[in-house]
Amino acid sequence: MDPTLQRLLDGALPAEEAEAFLASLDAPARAEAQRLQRLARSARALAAPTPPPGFTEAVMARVRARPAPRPSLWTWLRTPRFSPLGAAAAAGAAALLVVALPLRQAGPPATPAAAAPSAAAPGVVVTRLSLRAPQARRVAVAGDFNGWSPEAAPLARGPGGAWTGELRLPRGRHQYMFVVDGEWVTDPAAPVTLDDGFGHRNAVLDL
Amino acid sequence: MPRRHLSAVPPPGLAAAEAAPRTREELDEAADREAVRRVLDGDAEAFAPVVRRHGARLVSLCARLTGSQAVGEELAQESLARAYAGLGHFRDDGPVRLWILRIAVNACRDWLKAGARRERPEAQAEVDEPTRAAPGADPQREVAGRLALSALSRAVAALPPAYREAFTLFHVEGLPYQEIRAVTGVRVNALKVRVHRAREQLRRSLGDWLDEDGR
Repeated sequence: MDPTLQRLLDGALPAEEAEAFLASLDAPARAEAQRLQRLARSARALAAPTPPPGFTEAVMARVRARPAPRPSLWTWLRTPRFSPLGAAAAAGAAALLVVALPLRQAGPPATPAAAAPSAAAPGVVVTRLSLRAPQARRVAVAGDFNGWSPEAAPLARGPGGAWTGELRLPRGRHQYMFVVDGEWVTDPAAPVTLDDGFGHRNAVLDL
Repeated sequence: MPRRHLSAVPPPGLAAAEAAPRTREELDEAADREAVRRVLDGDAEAFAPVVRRHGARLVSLCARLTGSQAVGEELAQESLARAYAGLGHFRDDGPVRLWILRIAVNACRDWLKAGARRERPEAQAEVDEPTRAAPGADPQREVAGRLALSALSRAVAALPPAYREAFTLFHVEGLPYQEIRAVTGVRVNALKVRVHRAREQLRRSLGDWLDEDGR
């Protein structure tokens, strides 16, 4: 597609340039560009100006039925240190490991991974995630367990550019991706991945 | 565990720290942040203004993405309730509205992926079109306009999900590409390609509707 036409339809072309561009086209091309402009303008009218009646009350009823929100478990994690280098090299980073360690009800934890957080409820699995990304400034894990929030679960940077963090997840299947400086990255060490239908592959954790 | 206190400094993309909020967007963001602070201090009712500010957009967006008004309303309600429950996870590095939008978009993706949608989009495009007839408008033109809007609504519902998502966020909801990237995690160049392909597909689907007076 003509990049100028793309900018015109994206609304990124100043009015004078838009006028000059349309004037430079032959009649059929101009008519087609104007149809596409009409399409772009009409789409804005599809946005609803008001919510359905009773919407706020219905949401607040759900809100009142939920426990009051509390600060994230992740506040105990260190704030990642920043590297002067950008994120580009992070794309080539390799994951180190993904291990799931069921907490045992009796006896001391046998590994450092299990020792980090306090005791978990039965059926909850402490999962340590790790990604090697020496050039990254910020790495987080987003998945169906935290609403796919790229900020909810930041990993902590360790020696050698290994980013690690722990999750407490209920047993079952979970999907996740790493978010490296804003870019969504499939865990290269994940043994199972699934197409998310949007051009990415989610890593799968079976706990 | 100490409570987190949200900074009064606008997040990246908003005005400079020392400037008072001026635009509607900045005022809304300042109000959202105050609401988050109050909720984390234990005042659940402080979340109601957040719902009022963002409810319409969430319902509209979820209805478009799922092709169903009823499902859209349900997912919008659930997304806001999840946002409330997850406010402890909200981090002070972006607008609250984008964080909520991200939860809603992911809820729609999960719904679509779960195969909850059994029917073809053309058969299920039951999304309410807003009515905005201008006083004194020519009734014939108004009817033609509504028909065109209805045709556009059906055509958008028939787009592949990734194209529908990008087109809806950009052209219907009017988000800039950088914000759509923050909401969807999709790179800007990929978003531009998706929006472009969506426009091409809609152009083919709509045919004469896009002529000057519609049909």
